[in-house]
Amino acid sequence: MTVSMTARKVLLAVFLIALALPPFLGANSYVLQVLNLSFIYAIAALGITIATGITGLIVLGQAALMGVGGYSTGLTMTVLGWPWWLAMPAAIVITGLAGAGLGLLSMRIKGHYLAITTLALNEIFRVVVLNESWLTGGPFGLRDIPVLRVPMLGTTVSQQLYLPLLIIAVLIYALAIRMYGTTFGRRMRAIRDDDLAAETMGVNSRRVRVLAFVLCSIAGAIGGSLYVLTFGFISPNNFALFESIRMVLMVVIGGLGSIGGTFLGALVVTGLPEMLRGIETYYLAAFGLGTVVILLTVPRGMGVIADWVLAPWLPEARKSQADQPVKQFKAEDQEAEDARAVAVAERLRAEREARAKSAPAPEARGTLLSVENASKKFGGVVALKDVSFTVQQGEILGLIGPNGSGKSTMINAISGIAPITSGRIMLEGKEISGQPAWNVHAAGISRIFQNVRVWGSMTVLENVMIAHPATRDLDVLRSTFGARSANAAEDEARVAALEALSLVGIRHLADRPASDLSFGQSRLVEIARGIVNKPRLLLLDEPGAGLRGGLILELAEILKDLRDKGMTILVVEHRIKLVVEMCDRITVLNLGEKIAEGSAESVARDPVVVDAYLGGKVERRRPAKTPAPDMTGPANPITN
Amino acid sequence: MVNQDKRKLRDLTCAAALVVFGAGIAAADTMLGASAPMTGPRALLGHHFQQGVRMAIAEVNAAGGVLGEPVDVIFADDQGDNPNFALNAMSKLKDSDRVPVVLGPHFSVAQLATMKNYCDGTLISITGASGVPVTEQGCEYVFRIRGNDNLQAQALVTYALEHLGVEKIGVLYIHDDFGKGGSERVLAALEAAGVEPVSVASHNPHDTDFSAQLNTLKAAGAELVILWTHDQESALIIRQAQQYNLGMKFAGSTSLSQPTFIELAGPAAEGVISASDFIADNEDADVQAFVAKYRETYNEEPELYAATYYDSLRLAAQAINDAGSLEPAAIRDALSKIEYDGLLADYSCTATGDCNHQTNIVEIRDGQPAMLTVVKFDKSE
Repeated sequence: MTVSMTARKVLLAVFLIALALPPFLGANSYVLQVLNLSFIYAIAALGITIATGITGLIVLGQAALMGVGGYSTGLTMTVLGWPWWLAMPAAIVITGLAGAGLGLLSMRIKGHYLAITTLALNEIFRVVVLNESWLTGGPFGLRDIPVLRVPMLGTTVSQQLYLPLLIIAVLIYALAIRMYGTTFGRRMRAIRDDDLAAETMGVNSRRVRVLAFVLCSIAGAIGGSLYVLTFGFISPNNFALFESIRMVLMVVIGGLGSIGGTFLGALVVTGLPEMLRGIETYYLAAFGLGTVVILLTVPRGMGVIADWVLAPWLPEARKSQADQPVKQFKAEDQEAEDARAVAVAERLRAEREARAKSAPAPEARGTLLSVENASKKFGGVVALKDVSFTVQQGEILGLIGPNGSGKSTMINAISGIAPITSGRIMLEGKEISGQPAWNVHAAGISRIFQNVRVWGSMTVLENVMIAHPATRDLDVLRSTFGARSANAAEDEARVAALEALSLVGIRHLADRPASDLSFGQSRLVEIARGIVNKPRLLLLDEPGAGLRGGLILELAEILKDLRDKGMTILVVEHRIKLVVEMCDRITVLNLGEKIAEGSAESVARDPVVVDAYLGGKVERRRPAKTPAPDMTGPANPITN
Repeated sequence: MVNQDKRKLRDLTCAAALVVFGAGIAAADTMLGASAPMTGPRALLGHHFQQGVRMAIAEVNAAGGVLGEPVDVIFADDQGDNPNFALNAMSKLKDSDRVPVVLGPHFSVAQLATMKNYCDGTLISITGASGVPVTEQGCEYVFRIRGNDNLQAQALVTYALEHLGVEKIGVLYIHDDFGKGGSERVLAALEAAGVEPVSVASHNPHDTDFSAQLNTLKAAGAELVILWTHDQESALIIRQAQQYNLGMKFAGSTSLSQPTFIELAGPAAEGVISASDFIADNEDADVQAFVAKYRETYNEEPELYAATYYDSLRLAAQAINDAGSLEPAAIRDALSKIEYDGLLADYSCTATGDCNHQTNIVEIRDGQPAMLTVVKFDKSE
C-alpha cells in the first residue's frame, strides 16, 4: 500500500494534535505528569540518538549529563538567584563544555572503551554530588528550586507545563530532523558508517565527534533543566545509572538512529510501566516482556513507524523510494547493468574522440605532486623505504608492484590516513604530509578505496554531496536553522553531486540507499564522490578490483575523460591491461622501494621489474602467484 | 506451592482485569494509599512494609473500620530511593486514586522529591523516612513516626561513650544517601560530645571486600567502629573484621539489628550494638502481641518496616476516626493532637510533624537482638 507524502504529513499533524489534547479532555494530573516526564526524557534521550544512533559514539552516561544540566539550572537559580530563562542557557553552556571535554576524550578512546568511559560518568557525577554537599545539598538534593508556573494553563504544575513541554520537545525534534538531513547530519552519519572514508572525503572527524558530544550534552542539559523546573527537586538518585540505561532503552526501542523513534521510545518506556501498575509486583516484568516483544517483532523498533510518517523530511526517503519496495540487487540485473556501463563507455569514448579532433589534449604542465624520500614503518616492518617520485600535471601515473610492495601504503600516506615516518610529500610546493586527511582533501586530493567504502545507510546523492567543498565548512547552526547562505550551499552541493553522478552514469540511483547497490555501482559512487570536488589529484587504489566486463570499460573511459578535463590521476592497479591502456607513465614499487619508472613499454622490459614480479632469477617459469607485467589477460584480482 | 501459584495467577488475572476496566475498586471501602518499594533492590523492605500494613488493616476492620466503613490500602511501587518512580507513584495516589492519606514513601529522597506535589493539602503522608530534612521543608502534611537520623546517632554515641568504655572511635559508612546522611549525624554527635574520631572511612554500594577500610581503622587504633551502612554490607564488614581478628567492637545504625544482618553475619554478630526504632525483644505487651501475631500470620520474623507501617495505618485510622472526616486538613489537625501508644513509640507529634522521640539501644545476643535500654528524648529536641 502506498501512502502519499501529503497523507503522511496529515498523519503527523493528527498525531501532534492528539498529543496536545489530554489537558483539554480532562486527563488528571497523574496522566499529565507521566506524559510530561516522557517529553523531558524524549529530549534528553535525543542526545543519545545524536551521539550513538547517528554518529556511532556509544554514550551510557546521559543521565549524568542530564544531572549536570539539572544541577547547573538549580544552583544558578538558588545560589545566584537567576531567573529560569538565564539559568537554562547557563546550564546548556556548562553541560556543553562538559560534553566538549568528553568529545576531546573520544579522540583518544574509541569504541567500547569510550562506552565504558561514558558509563563511568554516572559514578563520577554521583560521587561528586554526594561529596560536595555544601554546594549540591548532598544525598538529600537541592530542595528549594522554584517551579516554573504558567497559571493561565491550569491549576496544577502538570497541567500548566504540559503544553510548554510538548511544544519544546516538538521544536527540538524538528530541529534534530532538520540537522539530520543537512550537511552536519551527513557528516555525522558518514563517521558512523565509515570514519576512515569520511576523513579522506573531507570530514573533519575530530570536530564532528566533539560537536556530536556537545549536542548530546545540550539535549541532556535541556532535559535536566526542564526536569528541575517541573519538579523543583533534584538529588543524585534522580540521575542514577539506572536512568542512563532507561534512556538507552528508549533509543533502542525507538530504533537506534531514528529521531522520531526516540520520541515514541520515550513515550513507551515512561508510559508503559505506569499503564501496567495495576499488576503490582509483576508490572516491571510485564514491561520487560513488552520490550522484548517489541524488539523481536520489529527489530528496528518504533523507528519503522516514526520514519515512515516522517518520510517527507528524511533524506533516505525523500523521493519516491519510500513508496516502492527497495529493490535488492539481483543476478538478472547484472546484464542490464553491464549494458548500461558499455553504453556510458561508448558515449564517453565518442565524446573524447570528438574533443581530440577539435583540440589536442593539454600537455603536462609541471609537477603537481612530489614524494620526497618518503619512508613508512609499522613497528619493525618497513612498508616504504625512501621512495621519491613525482606526478606531473594532467597525467595518469600508474603505481604498480607485486603484493606487499607498499602501493596501498603509498596511497594512504598521500591521502593522509597513514602519515609517513620520514620524508615529505608536497602538493604544488606545499607540504601535505603530516596534515590530517580532511586537510589533504581540502587541498585537492581525493581518493577511492581498494575495498569499496561507501556510507551504506546514506543515499547515493548524500554520499557524493559530503565531499563537495560548498558545505564542508558549514557549521551545524547555520545549516540546521537554514540560513540563506547555507541553503544556497546545500543546493550548490546537490547540483554538483548530481552532475558527478551523471558523469559516471548512475544519476538514476541518486535517491537509493548506498547499501542497496551492487559492488560495481558502489565503486562508481566512490568515483563520483572522489571527483565532485574537482580535485587536482585523484588517487585510485585498484579501481578495477572486483569489476567485470562493461564496468571495466566504463571505468577506463571515465578516467580518460577526467584526465582530458585536466584532472591528474595516480592509480594503483593490478590489471596490467588497464594500466597499459590508460597510464601515461608507470612507477614500480617492490618491497617498499621504487625500482623502476617510465613508460609502460620500458617498465615492462626492465629486468629488475621482471625479477621483482617473478621472484628472483629463475630459469624455468613456474605458475606465478602474481601476474607478470607482460600478461595481457584479466589479472588475478586478489587484493593486497 | 501449587496453591500459592494459583493464587498468584488469580491475582494476576484480577489485576489485568483491573487494568482493562479501569480502577474497579470496591466502592464501599475507605481507600488509603501506600507508596512502597515493591520491585527493585529494596523490594524485601516493601514486602515487610506490606505485611505490616495488611495486619493493621485486618485489626482496624475487625474493630469497626474507619468512620464505620472497612478500610483498605492501594499500594503503588516507588522502587525505594528512586525519585522518578516515587513521583509517579505519589501522583497516581493523589490525582488518580484521590486517597486522603498515604503511608510512605519510606526513603527520604523519595519524600523530598514528592513533597512539592502533595504538600498543597490534597493528602497526608505518614512516613518512616529518617532523613533530618524531611520535616524541615515547611510541609504541614508530612508526619514522621520514626526518630530522625539525629536521634539515633545521638543515642548511639552517648551510649557508646557512657557504657562501652572506649576512647578511640572510628567511623565507616556507605557512600550513598543513607550512609552519607547518617555518618554526618554521627560525626556531629561525636563533635558535640567532644570526641575526635581516629579515622573516618567509607565504602561504595555493593562492595564486597572491606580489608582496606578495616586496615585503615585498625591502623588508626580504633577500639569501636560506628558503622552506617546497609544490612548485607554490615554483615560482610563484621565477618571480615573477625576473620582478620582485629578485635574491634562495632556499633551502628538499625541495619545491625535487622534479621538479614544477623543471619548473614552469624556468630560474628554477637555483641554488636545498634540503635533501632523497633525490637521484637521489647517487653511491652503490645509489641509482644504484635510479634506473636506476625509470626503466626506470616511465619516470618517481624522487623522494623513491618512494625513502622503497622503503626502508620493504626495512626491513620485513629486520626480519621478522631477527625470524623476524610478531609486531609481535618485529619492533619487530629494527628497533631493525637497521643497514641504504638509499637515504636508513644507517639506525640510536634508542629513540624515529628511524632517519635525515642529509640532503643540493642545488642545482638545468642543470634537475637536484645534490648539494652530505651533512650527517650524530650519532644522539643
